[in-house]
Amino acid sequence: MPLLLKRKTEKAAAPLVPAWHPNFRNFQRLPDTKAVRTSFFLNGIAIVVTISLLLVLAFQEYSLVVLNRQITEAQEQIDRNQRPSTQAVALYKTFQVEEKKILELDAFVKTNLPFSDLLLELGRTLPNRLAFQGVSSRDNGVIVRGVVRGSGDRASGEVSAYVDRLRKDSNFSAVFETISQTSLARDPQSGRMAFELFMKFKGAPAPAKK
Amino acid sequence: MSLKNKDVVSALKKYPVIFACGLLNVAIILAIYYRGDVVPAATAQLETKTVLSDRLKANLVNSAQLAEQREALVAANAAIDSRLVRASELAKNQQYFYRLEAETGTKYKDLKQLPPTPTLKGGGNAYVAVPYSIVVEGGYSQLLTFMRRLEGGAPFCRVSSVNLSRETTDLSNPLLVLTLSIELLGQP
Repeated sequence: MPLLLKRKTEKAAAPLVPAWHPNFRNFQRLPDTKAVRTSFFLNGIAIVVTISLLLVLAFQEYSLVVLNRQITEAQEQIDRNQRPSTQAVALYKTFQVEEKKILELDAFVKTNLPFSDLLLELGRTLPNRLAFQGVSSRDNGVIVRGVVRGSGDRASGEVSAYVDRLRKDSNFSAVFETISQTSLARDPQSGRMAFELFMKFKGAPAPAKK
Repeated sequence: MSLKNKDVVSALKKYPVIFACGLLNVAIILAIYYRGDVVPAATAQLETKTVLSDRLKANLVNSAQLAEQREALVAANAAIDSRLVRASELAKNQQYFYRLEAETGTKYKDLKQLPPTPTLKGGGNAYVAVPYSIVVEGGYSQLLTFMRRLEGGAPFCRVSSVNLSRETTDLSNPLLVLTLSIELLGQP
């Protein structure tokens, strides 16, 4: 009660402007009109700050409890899965050894086009007036040598048409990047026009220039 | 009792709530400060354990059919092993080629087994390549059959280079010569 009903001091209650008549009020005996004391606010603020700090601490501790629970669960899961996982890893290593053999075989037998298939395809597309003299297959492509009947200009047209046909053929275009005529000259022995084609495999390096 | 202590006691009596709260606040702040490091440490520990746990779980999920797949690979490799040649068994290897010759009606002009080489660069290979240099003569269909048998035969065969040409410049001569560089997959 003394805190809440604190009286104003006489000095504090004295008017700033000089009164026009003497002030006979006895401030000590006047009732205190201040309903809420300053200490009430100070106490309130202190309590609020304390509660706030308590909440922060409680939240921190709660987070810690949750984290510890999650750590425990994760550890339980680790303990449960550790052994089967180790076994799976060991099994996978043996799997890799077996897989490596298969991959090595795959790399070994991988080919652009089996030579027997190439011969069949060349035979299928060969025009009547052309004959093959030889076929060579290397890592970068295939060289086809042949002769063509007829005069020079006609033979040239026949070979060009054959090259176009090979380029348009889906079986050849799937395997070969370029198909080009590398030579056309008269064979002095047979009197026929001898031609040479080079069919470059897809992704193969360009042939060395002669 | 000194005057200072008297003031403290009177202030304590005057504002007991504020003093109590102040003391409590100091205690709480100290607790928050000293316990503050525990949460990040626990978070880091949880992350580590979660990563490990996830990895173990993924191992189990991914290995669900691993045993069956490995068995299939082992069976496939056993089948492959039965088709491998051995570089040391020269006569047995030659026998394969002479059987081909007899079956296709072709004739060898040259047949040589060369020293084995690794199938892939870098080492650690499971197999070796056993190279052969072959010159064989025959008609077109005979040589085509020969190539078909060679490419699809029991030993795994890789054709390094091949040249098919007429034996003579005479177009009426049906004989052709097939010059081959091949490799058979072999056991090291």
